[in-house]
Amino acid sequence: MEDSLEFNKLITEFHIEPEVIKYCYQCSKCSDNCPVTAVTSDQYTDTGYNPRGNILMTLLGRKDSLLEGDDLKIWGCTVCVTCDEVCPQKIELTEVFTFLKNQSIALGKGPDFIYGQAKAVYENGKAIPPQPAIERRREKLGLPKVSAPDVGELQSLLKNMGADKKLK
Amino acid sequence: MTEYKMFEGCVIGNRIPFIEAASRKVFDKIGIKTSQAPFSCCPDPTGMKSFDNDVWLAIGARNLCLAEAEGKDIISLCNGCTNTLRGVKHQLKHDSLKRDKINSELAKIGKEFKSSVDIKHFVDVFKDEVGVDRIKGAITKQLSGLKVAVQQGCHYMRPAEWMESDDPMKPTTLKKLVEVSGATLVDYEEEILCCGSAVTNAYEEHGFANLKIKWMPSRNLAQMLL
Repeated sequence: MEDSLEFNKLITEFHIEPEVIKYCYQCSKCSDNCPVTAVTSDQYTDTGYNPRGNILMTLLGRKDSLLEGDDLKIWGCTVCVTCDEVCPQKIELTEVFTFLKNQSIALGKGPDFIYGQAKAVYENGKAIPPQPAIERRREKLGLPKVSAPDVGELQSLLKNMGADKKLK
Repeated sequence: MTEYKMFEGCVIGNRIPFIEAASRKVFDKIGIKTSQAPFSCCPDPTGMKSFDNDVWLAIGARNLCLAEAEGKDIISLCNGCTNTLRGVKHQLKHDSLKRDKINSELAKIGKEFKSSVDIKHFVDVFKDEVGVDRIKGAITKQLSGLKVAVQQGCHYMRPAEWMESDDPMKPTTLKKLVEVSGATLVDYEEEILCCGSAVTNAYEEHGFANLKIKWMPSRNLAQMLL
């Protein structure tokens, strides 16, 4: 019980308008319009990705149900933000799902791709580092060199925030 | 016309620079001035934001500080970068606790986010500042006979709350630009369906299932404008 109250507190602090999530009446418009639910969900076996279910479990503070087991439950969200737009209660569902993903990373879970991208940004200041072949192509196309970011300054910012410790 | 700071982003700058080359040619022709800044990764609204929202805010705000230091708005070539930079500004503008937290981190590297610059997708600059008529007048070769289907991409218009660019479920701006080019616009039902990129990175099979739904009906009908 204490755990679920703590989880509830975290979500309300994360969300821009914390009260709004409580307006969900489980109408299922989010799941009906979710492209990932369309290709993964099986209502008879309760498997796959289900945004409506994630909102319900978040409201109930069911951290265990959300963060344990199959990662697809949270990471199936493809951030298309369609659910936000169709929600009759104007809940920013994608922000709630971002919170869940952040919680999953804090537990060291989540897809390798996410860690890989964070590491690339930490090491190079760019998610896609400069490559000699592309630099030559830029020159051929008459493009200026990409203005190089201050990687040292960016790393100080990330270290101060403890992001380096979350990398794998 | 005002000068913008060009935000080409990691993907366009370091992987598919022909998009930047084409954009710069069009900008020159219609009089949009740009200059560079040492921007880092925006960072990705589907990757870094999922990793840690506060870190996403801090990196995005640091980029905005670089534009603020020169007092110039940003023009972005990439949907994702536009979405991140507008999203960061939106969250920090509406949440003073988050803003204080991020600014205390930025202060340690000698920066402060002031929320003083705007971030514009180049398609919106075409629509709002240049105007479709001027674009039409600048076209020397009509693309007659070419069939084009558009893929605006989710992050160009959603969430409407902070993108403020086009109708989030029935976008029209890119289509208007296709029409003035002389090409034939091909409508298709799955136009606003997600390409599935974020989920493909983690679950290839589900992402590709998504893409298949999107592509199958329109195949052989048209070129797709991304």
